[in-house]
Amino acid sequence: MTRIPIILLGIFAVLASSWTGLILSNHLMYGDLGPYVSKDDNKAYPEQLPGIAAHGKQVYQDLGCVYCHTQQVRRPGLASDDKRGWGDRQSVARDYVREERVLLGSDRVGPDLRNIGARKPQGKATYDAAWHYVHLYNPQLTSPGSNMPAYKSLFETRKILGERSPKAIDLPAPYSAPAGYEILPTDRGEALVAYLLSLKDTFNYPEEATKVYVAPKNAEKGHGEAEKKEHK
Amino acid sequence: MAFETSSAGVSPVSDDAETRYREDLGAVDTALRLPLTSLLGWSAIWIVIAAALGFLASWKFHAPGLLAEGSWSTYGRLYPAATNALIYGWGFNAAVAVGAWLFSRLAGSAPRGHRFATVAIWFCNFAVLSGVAGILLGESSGVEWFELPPFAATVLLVSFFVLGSWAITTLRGRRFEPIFISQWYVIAGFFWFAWIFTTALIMLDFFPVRGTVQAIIGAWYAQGLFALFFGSIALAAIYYFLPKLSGRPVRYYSLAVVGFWTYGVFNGWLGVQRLVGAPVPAWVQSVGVAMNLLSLAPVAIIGINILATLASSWSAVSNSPAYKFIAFAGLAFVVSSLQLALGGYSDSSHLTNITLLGHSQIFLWLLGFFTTSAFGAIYYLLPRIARGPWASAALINIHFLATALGVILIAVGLLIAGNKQAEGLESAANNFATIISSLNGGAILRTAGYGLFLIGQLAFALNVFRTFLGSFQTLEKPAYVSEPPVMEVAS
Repeated sequence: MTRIPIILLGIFAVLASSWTGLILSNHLMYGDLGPYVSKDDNKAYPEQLPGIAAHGKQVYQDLGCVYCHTQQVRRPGLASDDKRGWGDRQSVARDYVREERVLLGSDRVGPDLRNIGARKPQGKATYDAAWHYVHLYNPQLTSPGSNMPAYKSLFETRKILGERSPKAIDLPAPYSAPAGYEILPTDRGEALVAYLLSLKDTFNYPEEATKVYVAPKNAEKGHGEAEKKEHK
Repeated sequence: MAFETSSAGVSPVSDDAETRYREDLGAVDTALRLPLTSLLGWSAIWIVIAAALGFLASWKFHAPGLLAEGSWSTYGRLYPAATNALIYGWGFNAAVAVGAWLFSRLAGSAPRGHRFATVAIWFCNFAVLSGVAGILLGESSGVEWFELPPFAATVLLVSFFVLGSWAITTLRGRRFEPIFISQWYVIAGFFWFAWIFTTALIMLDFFPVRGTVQAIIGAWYAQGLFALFFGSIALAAIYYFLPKLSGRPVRYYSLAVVGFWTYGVFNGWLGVQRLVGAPVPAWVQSVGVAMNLLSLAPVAIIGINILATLASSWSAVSNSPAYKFIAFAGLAFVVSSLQLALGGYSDSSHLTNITLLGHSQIFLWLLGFFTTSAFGAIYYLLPRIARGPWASAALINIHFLATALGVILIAVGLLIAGNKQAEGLESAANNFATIISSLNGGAILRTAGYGLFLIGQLAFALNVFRTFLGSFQTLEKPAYVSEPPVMEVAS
């Protein structure tokens, strides 16, 4: 075992086995997984992101949102994702087939965002565009105590010329723009919010329905139940 | 004098032979001077950059109001910039320097083409510098641990092929067959890095594969990077320097070969355990969990080698600064490996992958095991390259204490925060905001750790540059004349 060719061959074989076993095999097995065309509405799921949302994904990626926000819903029973209202079903491989860069994330310092576009309002948190703008401008306004940084660079303050822009955002007193000025999102800010609102895996793939574990009808008491009622 | 105690057949027999042997080793050091000076100089700069960025990112984690104006200073950019400076700046330079030096030393011959190698080193470092700046400006590739923008990653890979070929030319003039385990680890580490990096670049950046296959490649790449590249080079250094510095052979050395092969095989398959619960095929997750258990075999074997040798030569710790670092690295290897293997079986294992618990293990591995073992090697080899003793013994002590304490605080801080996070996320009854604010204690501990770590690295960089500058004035002192302990510290 001391001859160089034998050692080199062994070293090659070591990584060749895992490369074949994990990378090549998975690529061959489901690397060509495509969207599913629903017979009900003739749409291909997951749906293509609208242009502005696709731009927003770039913003999401370059600001590094992925370091604090995952985009993977765990199956009910594993952790508390469903009860927190992060998604009604677990994420499946097909949900990601249209994404050029899959951003699953590896740390949950913030909530999972896989279904943020379909999240049900909780009290003041409406999760609509207006809420997202205020939240991005200063997370303390919507989520006191949050350790999310403010993204002021996604907004600009400018003088009101003529009428106030319909895009201008409304902020509470100490943060609002000085008289004669308005605060409105930049193109990047708008794109990011469009992306966030587009994030929803609400379609249930028929062939996954048998495999995917969905929460039992009578879910335990807690957030989940309240949300389900609201949904109805 | 006991040289190469554990690689049989190279011990000098007579004084005459010993002198000749030392002259040859001195010749190897001389031949490596140009490329290694570049590598070591750059690595000293990079570890300071990495520590400073890491400190900033860690601070911003619990104080989001700090530096809140620009996009470049947001946590989501500082954090990957810090990890990439650590991996592709410091780690890459240090691993190539230590690997190439060990390889030449053990083969008794210097590689050829040091000018090509030096050009490649400078190209590579400018590419990584622009890559890290690119991450701060929003050019990240979006793959964790592989954020380097594609242009920088491509230059790095080409440079690495040049450097790898350069190191391999050593074999042509070899005087000793590669029988010692350190050489195996170096050959394997270089080869495996070329493979995993090429795979990641092609399958994630140039022609991104579809869907969550990307996540599998990312996890496989990350584990390959940590274990198969950095881990291999670190183990090569540990297996070389433990006997070298203590004058005692590696205990149970016959097991080391089994350790090497099992380490390679299991770590190649291991990364996917970080995807338990993620939308990837269930069998992949099962393979990850199984490999987690199997990976205890190489940990046990290599751990026995390291711990038993350390136990038999503990007194050497006080004699040699290099040995302190190597001993610390050996212990960090065992602790971090056990953390990885056993973490997969705790009650919250499905949460380990999405909490700071996983990061605690990774940073103990990268900073405690790899980085510290590279420091140990550098404390030994740099004076031989620079042909002069270390400029300051006090700076070495500061470096060791600040690094050791800093790494422990970072790992423990992440562990505490990660535990709270995993416990909190388990049940929806816990308010999310409350969970996150409970992380601050651990996060502040981590920031303190990074602060200490940064101080240590400033001391290290200062010492490296003072030693190199000092050596230009005393160029006439050939390395092989001085005894090893004298070479290590000036005073």
